[in-house]
Amino acid sequence: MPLHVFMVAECENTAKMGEFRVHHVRFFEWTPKSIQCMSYNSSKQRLALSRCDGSLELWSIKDGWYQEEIIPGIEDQSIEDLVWQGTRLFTAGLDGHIREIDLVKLNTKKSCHSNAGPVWCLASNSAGTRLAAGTEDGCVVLLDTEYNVLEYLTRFDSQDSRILCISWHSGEDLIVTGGIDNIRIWSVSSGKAMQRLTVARTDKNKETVIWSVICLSDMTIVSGDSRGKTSFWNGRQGTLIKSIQSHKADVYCLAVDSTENIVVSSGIDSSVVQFNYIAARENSDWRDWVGTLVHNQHTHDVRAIQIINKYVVTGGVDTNLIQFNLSSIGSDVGHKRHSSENKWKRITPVPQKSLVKVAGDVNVILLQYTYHIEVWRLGFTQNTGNNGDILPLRSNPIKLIQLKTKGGVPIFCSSITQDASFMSYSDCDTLRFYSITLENLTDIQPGVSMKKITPATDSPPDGAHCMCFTSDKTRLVTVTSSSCVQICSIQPASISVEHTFPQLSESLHLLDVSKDDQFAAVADHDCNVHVYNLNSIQHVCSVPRQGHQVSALSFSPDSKMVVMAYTNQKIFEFDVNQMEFSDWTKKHSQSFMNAWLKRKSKITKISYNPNNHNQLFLHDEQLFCILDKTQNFPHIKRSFEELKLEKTTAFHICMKYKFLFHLEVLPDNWLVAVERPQLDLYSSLPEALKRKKFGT
Amino acid sequence: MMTIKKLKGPPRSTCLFQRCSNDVGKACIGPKGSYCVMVNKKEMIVKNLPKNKPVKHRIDRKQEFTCVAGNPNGQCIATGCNDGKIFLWYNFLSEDRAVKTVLHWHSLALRELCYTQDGSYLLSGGHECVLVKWHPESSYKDYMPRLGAPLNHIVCSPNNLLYATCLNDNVIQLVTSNFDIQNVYQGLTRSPHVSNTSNPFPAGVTYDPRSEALVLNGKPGHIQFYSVQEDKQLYNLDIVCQNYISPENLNTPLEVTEVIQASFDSNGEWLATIEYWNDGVMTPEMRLKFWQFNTEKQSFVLNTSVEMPHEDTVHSLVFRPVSSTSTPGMQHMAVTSSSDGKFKIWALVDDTDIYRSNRKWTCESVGFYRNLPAGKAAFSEDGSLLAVLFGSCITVWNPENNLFKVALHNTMLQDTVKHVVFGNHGSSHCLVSTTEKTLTVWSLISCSVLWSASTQIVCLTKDPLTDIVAAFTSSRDLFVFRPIDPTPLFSHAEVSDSTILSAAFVPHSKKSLYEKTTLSWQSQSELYFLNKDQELLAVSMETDRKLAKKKEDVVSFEQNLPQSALSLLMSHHSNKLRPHSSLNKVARQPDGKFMKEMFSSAPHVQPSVTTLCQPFIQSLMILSEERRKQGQNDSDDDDLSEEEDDIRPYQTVSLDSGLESDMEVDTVDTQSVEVINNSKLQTESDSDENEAAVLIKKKTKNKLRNETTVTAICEKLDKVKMFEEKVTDEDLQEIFTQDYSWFSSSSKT
Repeated sequence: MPLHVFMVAECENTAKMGEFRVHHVRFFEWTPKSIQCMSYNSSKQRLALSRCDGSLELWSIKDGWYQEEIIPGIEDQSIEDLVWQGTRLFTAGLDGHIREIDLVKLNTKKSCHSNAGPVWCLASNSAGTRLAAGTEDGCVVLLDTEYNVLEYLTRFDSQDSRILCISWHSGEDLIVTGGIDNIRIWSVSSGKAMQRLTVARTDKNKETVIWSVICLSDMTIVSGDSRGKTSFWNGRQGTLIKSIQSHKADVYCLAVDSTENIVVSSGIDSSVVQFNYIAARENSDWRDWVGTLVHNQHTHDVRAIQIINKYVVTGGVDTNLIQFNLSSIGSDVGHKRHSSENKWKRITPVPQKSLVKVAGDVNVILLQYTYHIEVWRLGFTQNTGNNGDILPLRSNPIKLIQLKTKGGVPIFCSSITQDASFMSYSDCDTLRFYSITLENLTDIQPGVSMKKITPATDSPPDGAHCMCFTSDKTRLVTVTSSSCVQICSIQPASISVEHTFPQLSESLHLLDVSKDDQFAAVADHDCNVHVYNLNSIQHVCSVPRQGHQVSALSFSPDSKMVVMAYTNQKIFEFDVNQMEFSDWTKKHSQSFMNAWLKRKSKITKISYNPNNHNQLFLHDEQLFCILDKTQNFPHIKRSFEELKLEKTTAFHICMKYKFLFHLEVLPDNWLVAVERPQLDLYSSLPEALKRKKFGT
Repeated sequence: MMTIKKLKGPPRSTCLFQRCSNDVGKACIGPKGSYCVMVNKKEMIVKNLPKNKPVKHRIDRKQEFTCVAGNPNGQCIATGCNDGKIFLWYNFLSEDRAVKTVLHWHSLALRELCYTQDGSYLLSGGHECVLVKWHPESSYKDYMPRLGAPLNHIVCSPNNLLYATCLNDNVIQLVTSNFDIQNVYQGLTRSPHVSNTSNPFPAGVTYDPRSEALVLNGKPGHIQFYSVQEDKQLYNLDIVCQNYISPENLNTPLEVTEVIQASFDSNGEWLATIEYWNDGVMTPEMRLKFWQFNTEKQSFVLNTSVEMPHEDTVHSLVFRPVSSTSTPGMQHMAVTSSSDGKFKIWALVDDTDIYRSNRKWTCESVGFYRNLPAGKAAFSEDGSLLAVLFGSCITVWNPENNLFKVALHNTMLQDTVKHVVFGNHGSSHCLVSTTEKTLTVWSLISCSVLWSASTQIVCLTKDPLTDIVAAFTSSRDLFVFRPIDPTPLFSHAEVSDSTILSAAFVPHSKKSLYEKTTLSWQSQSELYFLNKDQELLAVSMETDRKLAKKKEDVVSFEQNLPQSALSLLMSHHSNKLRPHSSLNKVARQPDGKFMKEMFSSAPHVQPSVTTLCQPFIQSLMILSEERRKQGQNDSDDDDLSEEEDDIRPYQTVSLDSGLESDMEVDTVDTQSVEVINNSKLQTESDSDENEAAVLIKKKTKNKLRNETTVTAICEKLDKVKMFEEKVTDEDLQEIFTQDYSWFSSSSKT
């Protein structure tokens, strides 16, 4: 049971758009997880990111930090390091396995044991044919990944202590590893250590841990250690060039830019320090480095750092991703453009796909956690009040069902029908289906009974990534793990596959079914939107590509239109019958406000107001907006503040809720708003290293 | 051996930078002249010297460069910013490859940066009063805190062993490389006040008879003892005992507790101070402290501290003087007067108990008058009378029993009386007071105006040893006079460049120096005064004849002497400044107006009818007589004298009683002519014989903050010593012969 339950009904008056009573749900106890490591694939422009619970996320940088996929972590499978090889993604964990991730099915494709205990770090050679893993046993394990395999190849001589970080020289066959008190340079061909660089200790009895090491192409080795020092070594001679006390505590991570002139480091003290190469003396190849700028945006330990194009991206225990402009950290280039030094951006861990489903007819909501599902009855009231009033509840919200998955298998998606009579969820492989009977729902103790419906043995439905019930509750439309659209028919005793459409795309991630059960729309990461006819079982049409992904889509109540919100914040309406964009879209597609387009967070849900078909409800984690299609768009240069003063405008924006997980319109002008306040969200974080701050 | 090559022709000079700041810290030349660098607001311009091609670097908005220093190894330039950041620039000769590092400890703008000679350490200083030593290679830093005042300049000795820091309060400290203070050179402490509105010396300047030093505000919360004879600061006495804290923001300076009044008793045993703190938000704090000089410690020790002695600003704090004429065994006494309408008399009482013998100060009595705010207060020379200003009234009290004696009130002038001073010695029956527009001398015997002059006095002080009073006008003119005599002994126009704040006479023993000169009034005490530029000035003889222009300034006043020398003199000055103003009048109570005054003033402030009666009748009598006499003397003045509002040299309403006064008036009138003639002769002979031009001697008040370096200060100190050379007899001889020749030649023509 949750310890604190917030369920408040509030009145919301959104600038003459009508009055709403709001189920202000605050009992969704989703907790963010700290970031463990990151790896950027420049060809795909995707950032792979792992969190401490072993979950993996894929972010599209091209679409302005759109969270494409979340691969939930499996218990006991931690991810310590991530490496891209072309389009293949490898992970290494403390269970001793090196895994290749299937990016379509979102599970493990291949796995290979290190035979040398837990794996701490992973590196790839520049050709993308070998992987090197640093292990607890103190040896480097080489793996063959050529021709799409993942096989154990060989291991180097083992040293007496663990290897915590590893870097493969880009040209020569050299591997640099860091461990306890020393850095070693290995020859790949012989498997023998060529150099051993001893790192000094500050305290005689306290060993120095090398947390991170990078080998530059000119054999300059950069290391970060537990003394808080960032050291630059001449790898050929094995001598220390410079050691800079850049941090107050351990340096966890390092990154170098493509020109190898800038190195950034960060660690427990959460400051990000930039080092620049300066050609120190004339007629000398002595490379001298100076620490230049410090950024302090994180509140907790920084675990991972990456330089992506001209940006530094950092992530750590405080679960946020923070992006700086590297050119503005650097020397004058940024100042000439008069860019302010504080140009940075925070990307919150809030999932960009809704984890909440609402059964609107009976005021029941479903909350999807990683390993369990909760079904709640919302509180209700008959009172009304003025804007901002908190209405007294006649009955409090009650948790009806808590359903745990078997064997620690994570949940991929879930759904519930409008009258809460059926519920379904899917893990990686299988789809599970339940019928629910609710009695005396308005009582203090409603009766709940749940029955599992077994899949038909001859044609069991596949595991799903998205699912949606039709409104007549006879069918369940899913996007399977192999990215096909599948129609399952629901019988009282079993559920069976009715039809599977052929695979049109490898990466479907959004699904919606029209209210008259005739159409289904799906969207993929390649910016396509397909519409299927469920009755005639055929692909109807595709929406013209916009060059940006769709982050939310929905059918209109009359089932004639599909409305789509793109990652560039534009909203398009597509007429399914006419197979063209609607007149409203044609008129307004170029007249969105700049302030609106510049928003960082992506629209996570868009829907029509069932009571007024000209109103669109859309929200992201920061705000929700009612878009009135009958009104004119404001001027392009209007800001949000100026917008509030206008009498009639298409955009009605409410920024009352911070970290809005879900917002849905119910009949009779009720809203369900699932909010997770910032304090609650970060309350589970551990204590950070104390930093002195001037003036406090 | 160093050899100096002789250059042929003048040295060539090239202009490196235009638009350069006059602050030396804002430009720098690299080692061996490899580059030169200049900072100006937001940009730093570096020139590679042989090529002379400028490279510009900029910093962010909101930031501004304040100083620059080049590393002696030539690799790096350090710049200081107004937000306290130090940037170290590498690769500064290329615009796009430049790399900068931040060192940030200072919270306020940096004043100066300095590299040590080998370039390994960087010294920085600013408003925090902390000298910081950076080792940029290892990010190590060391601090030397609580220096007392913001740092202005830092230099490093060539052997790397000593650092010299120049502080904002006119102090140079020599610091060893491990931050031990080796030597301190201190001049007159400069007040940190920079705003134009506030007075940098609220306590003014007073004379400490024991140490024979001038006492004025020093460091924040301190008073400094400054020996004018030796021209050096003796010490700073901490009055408020609070550490100086630099403000969070330079635009909103922190309000510090200031010593607003300081006073010594006649023999220098007791010091009384009032400190005041008011930030406009919290309840103001005020403390009256009495300090006793401890001969063992050779310092003042706190005896009594009184919290909030008054509810409003205190205007004066005076000890009762003890002189040869005063009653022996008189009680130690001090008076404070405040805008809250009260003056308090504090007396020294016995506080001995079984544990110790002690004395303490307590408030003995409180006086007030008509609910008016009290202004300044003054004791008479013998301590038997106390004058306290209340609005436009001067009230005279007996300090022993705090009994009200008399109120002097000039009904014609309703202005608030600003200053009040009792005369000394020969003028001890006189009381000098000033208002916004006039200077008035009262006779305490008749309680009436002796004479009055229309002038704007901003500062009034008296010599404790003679009966001389010095007054400074708002147009910065100096007048020295005796209260009984309206003829000024000495006057000088524009003695200072800025407003005079305070002045004091300092007794000295160099009597012969001033005899038979225009400055003979300084034979007992020298006059020192402070102006708003924080300069301490004195009037002294000048040996250089080139300044004879100023002499003419002095002499020319005597050309056409009128009835009252002072009045015309003053009007002469004021006319020079404001020709339109018609201030040329010596106030004289016309007879009709005397009656008016008599009836208009409140009966309770008037003297008894018997005292009023005689002067009233007498005034009528004198009027007719004087008319006749004046008519005989000067028939041209008939029309003037017939008018009732005519201008007369002396106050006719006055003086003791009956016929005697009649006589006296007559004699005074005739005497005045003589005096005038005498003074004419006197001044002529003065100008002939002495040729003493007047030099305004500026003591060491520094302006080192902006334009001078540490070396320049040393030079300045030397110069000051040069001023003190004495006028030798040969000089006088020379002056005399020259002027005599001029005189004879002019007489021939």
